[in-house]
Amino acid sequence: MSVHLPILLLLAPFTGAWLVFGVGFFSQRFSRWATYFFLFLPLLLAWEAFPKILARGPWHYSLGGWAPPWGIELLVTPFSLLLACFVLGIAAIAFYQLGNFGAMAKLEPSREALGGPLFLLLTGSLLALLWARDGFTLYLFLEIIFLVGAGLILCVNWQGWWEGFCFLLAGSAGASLLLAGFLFLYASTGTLHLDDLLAQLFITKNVSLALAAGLLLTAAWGFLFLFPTPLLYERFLREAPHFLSGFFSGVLARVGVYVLFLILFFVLNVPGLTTPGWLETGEHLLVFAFLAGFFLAARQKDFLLCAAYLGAAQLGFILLGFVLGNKSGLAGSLMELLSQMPATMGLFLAAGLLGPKPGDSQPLSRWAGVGRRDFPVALCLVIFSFSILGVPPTGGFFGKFYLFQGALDKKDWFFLAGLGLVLLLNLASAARLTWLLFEHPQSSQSPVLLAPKAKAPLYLLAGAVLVLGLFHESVLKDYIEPALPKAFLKTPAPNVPFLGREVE
Amino acid sequence: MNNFLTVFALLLCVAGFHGIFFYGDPAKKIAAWVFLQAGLLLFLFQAVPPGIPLRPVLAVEILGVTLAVAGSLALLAHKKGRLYGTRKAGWAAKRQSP
Repeated sequence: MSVHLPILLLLAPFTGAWLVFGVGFFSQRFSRWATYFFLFLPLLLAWEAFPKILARGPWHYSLGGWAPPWGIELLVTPFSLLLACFVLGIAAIAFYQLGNFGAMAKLEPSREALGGPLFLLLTGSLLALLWARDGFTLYLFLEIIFLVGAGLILCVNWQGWWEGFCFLLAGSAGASLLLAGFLFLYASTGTLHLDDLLAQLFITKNVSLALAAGLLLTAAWGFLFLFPTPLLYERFLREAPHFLSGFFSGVLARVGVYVLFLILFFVLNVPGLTTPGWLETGEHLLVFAFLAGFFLAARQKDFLLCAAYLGAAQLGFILLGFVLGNKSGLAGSLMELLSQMPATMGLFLAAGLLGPKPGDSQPLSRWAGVGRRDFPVALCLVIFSFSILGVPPTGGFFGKFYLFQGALDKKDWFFLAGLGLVLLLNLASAARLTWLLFEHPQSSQSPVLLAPKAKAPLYLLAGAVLVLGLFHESVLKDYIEPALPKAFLKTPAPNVPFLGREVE
Repeated sequence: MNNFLTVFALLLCVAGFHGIFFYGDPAKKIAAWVFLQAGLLLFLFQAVPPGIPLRPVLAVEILGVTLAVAGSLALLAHKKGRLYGTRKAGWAAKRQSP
């Protein structure tokens, strides 16, 4: 059985979704526990797979024994498996929150029971995006994600027809761009397999086609990366429960970024391909446009809007590493990817503590003096904000450190100046939040003190951010370094010299 | 590759993409998205030479996805219309609401 671990990891949530759906007709309580079981089962299988993958390297698995490019291949790398564990863990937290939300918002039990299969389908499709090595399979699973996402929106908000419609339509338009990009590549190379595409592009030396496909394949993620920015989706933010916004922003968008990383550096990274000047300028502008989200976040008086802006703005750090394209930059991007998932989800869950029901207002001022009343919750908020700012020992610090090093290596002064400016702004925002939490006189409208079980997910997410920082050496050496393009494997890994230990 | 059909496919895609963002009526938005998918399907027929088994497989899958998504979108738009009375009344109600 152990030789089939990659497909078992993928099949567990999909099979579970149907079983849980069936069980939901008879017992909602049992269906709930079955959902947890099928979310934790892949984690157990991942535990089994980790030693093998760490010892032998990436695991290529051909479905039905059909070798690629004719058959569909799954490729499980140490990094993608770690990312999958984050996805599964955060999905379990989101499902746990669905239960709390259901009790509070008096959701019909049948709705809550339907949430389990939908979460399992969504999680399974996200895992497929991480491991599929076939352009068309990526498109199919992306469409499934948007369909299931729209279903989840309706499941938690019966009035959310319009939000579901917009989510599905915009998402499908993005997925169509992804399909168009892969069809462009297919027309020129005759293959849809990601590794084979790179080889064929190298043989044909069709640089202009790689550029055109690259533009389409990047634009495909535009909707997902901007979701749920208040500039475009304020109504969704107000009407959807916070755990769902957090899951879409923290997990869906970050998995999309990982797929973009695979496309840019393992499909279109044709040796000898030089980026034209106009594209380089466009890439810089794109990164600065995302980073500008930090300025918008700093201006917000509402904590939910602030969290939503931060969710999108942080993607600027990851994209910055992609544009730098050197080893330190890419290592920083992948480190950021891991640390942003729990931090973003945590911020949305914290917004849920301020006003648990959709439509409630979540003014920042309600955090005033919370540090003195509820120290653990305040500490979690400080950890999330410090990770976004880049304070050791959070995971976000190491991501930003590698990004700085990458910008220095490339002597990209624009990015260095931009990063410096953003970090100064984030320092001011984090200082303001910390002062508000611990020093500010108590607000008359402080958040309701919830039972520890309602706050447990926040503690887990803050713990994940800290663990990533504390074990950054192992994360970098065992997970991130093998995930980088082969050209970087021989160059030394970035160091953090002033912490007294070298990574390599 | 037939140049006329390729240009026609691209035109369908561009028209569809434009419609998704610029039409206000949900039904027109759905139609625009279907146009975009039809353009891609036509482009697929241009890109993959006949006789290759991948061609019908991809075509059926794209058609299936298009039908499933368009059906879901139509259901959502219909339910939204029922929720707010008629579709137009719903739009008007939403515009007036704060």
